[in-house]
Amino acid sequence: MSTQTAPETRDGFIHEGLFYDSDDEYRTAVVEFVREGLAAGEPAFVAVPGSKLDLLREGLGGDADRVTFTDMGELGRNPARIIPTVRDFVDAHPDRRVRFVGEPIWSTRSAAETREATRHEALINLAFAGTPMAILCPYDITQLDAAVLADAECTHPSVADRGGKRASRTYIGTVGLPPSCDQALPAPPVGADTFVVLASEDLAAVRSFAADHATRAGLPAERADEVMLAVSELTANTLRHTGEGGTMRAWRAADRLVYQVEDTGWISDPLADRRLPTPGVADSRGLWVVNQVCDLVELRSTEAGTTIRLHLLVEESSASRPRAAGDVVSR
Amino acid sequence: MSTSVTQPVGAMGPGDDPAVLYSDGLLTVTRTESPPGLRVVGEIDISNADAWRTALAATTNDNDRDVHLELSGLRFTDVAGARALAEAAEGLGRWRLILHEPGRATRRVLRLSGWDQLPNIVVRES
Repeated sequence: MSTQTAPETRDGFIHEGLFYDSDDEYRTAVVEFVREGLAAGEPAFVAVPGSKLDLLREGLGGDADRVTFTDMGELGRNPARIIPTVRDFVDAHPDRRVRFVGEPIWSTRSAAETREATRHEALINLAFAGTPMAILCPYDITQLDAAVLADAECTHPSVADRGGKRASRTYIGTVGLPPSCDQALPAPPVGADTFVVLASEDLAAVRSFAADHATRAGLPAERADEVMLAVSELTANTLRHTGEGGTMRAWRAADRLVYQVEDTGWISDPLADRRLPTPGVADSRGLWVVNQVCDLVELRSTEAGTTIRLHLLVEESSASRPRAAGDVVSR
Repeated sequence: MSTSVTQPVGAMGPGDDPAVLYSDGLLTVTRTESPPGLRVVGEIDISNADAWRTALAATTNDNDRDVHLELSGLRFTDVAGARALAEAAEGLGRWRLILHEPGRATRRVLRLSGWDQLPNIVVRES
């Protein structure tokens, strides 16, 4: 464990939570972090909510041109898309140490989104363990709940605030998740539509079922097609990896459509849904595709079974399409 | 990327009678002579992806020319079906896999999976 290591170490992996309480502190700390990297020849990738981008661009002045910026509201709407995008940035700079500023949690995120963003913060330690890079994750302590900040302390080996930098007292390491991330999902509504998939011959029907549901709920044709693809991939995975089939449920929540697939399988690799596809044809891409088309994915998997819940925003989702991860890191 | 182009050499006219290589009620794959390749109608998922891969292999095995796939009737393919396309393209080496009129579902899954970046997969739309 490296919880006692000084965060300034020049090599190895650094993942620091920045607990800030003002725009001024935010700008000063992030700009310093980015400039330190630039001075050492380390490329920087900054993904923060769109409302914060100008603040940082101003703070960086002419150095802003040397930084890759992305709106985290887009990239991180589905937090499972962040790690592959960072991986893409790391891979694009072989033999270079890189810096990443990632702010995946803000006060207006829903509880489910915040949970998945917290999972992302935990998994980034595993995804990049041993990679020479420094990650800084700002948290607005004036807006976020104490429980969210406590989870951030669990997912970051070190934290910084006005009092300085220190090793986290509760960092959980690269294995495991904060308890909040493993809570069972709230039960689907009683009236949810249900479709049981037992054999591969059922897949065409479950696709029609999902597409009809999406279209009736007002999703544009393009998005309904994406629902069809995502549900087809998940139910196909169920049939591939379990002998018993699975159940698909669909329902409408306030501003979104939700599609859930339950089966008896176990996805033992916690990074299974956030690996960047490699060139060539070898690796599996079903979960990758699902994450590209959905606004949020909740995945709970244990030896007892797997539940994957897909969220597709109904309002404005067709106007602000999720970007493919590969598009985001290009300047 | 290969720049050579194989001209269709089929002696038969548009009225030729292509052999059905595979049909299961969801998917029909027929051989085309001019241009040489396959016409694909229906939907591909893991229920027929193996048969689809076999039909593709039968068409790309000679490996001595570009292969043309007429995809306007392919309403859906999942990642498994797209993977078979990618494998076929890889197997063709310097020859091209030319996709004619792929629908939006086919284009989407190729784009999302990243296999549209394979250098010898070529999309042709009229």
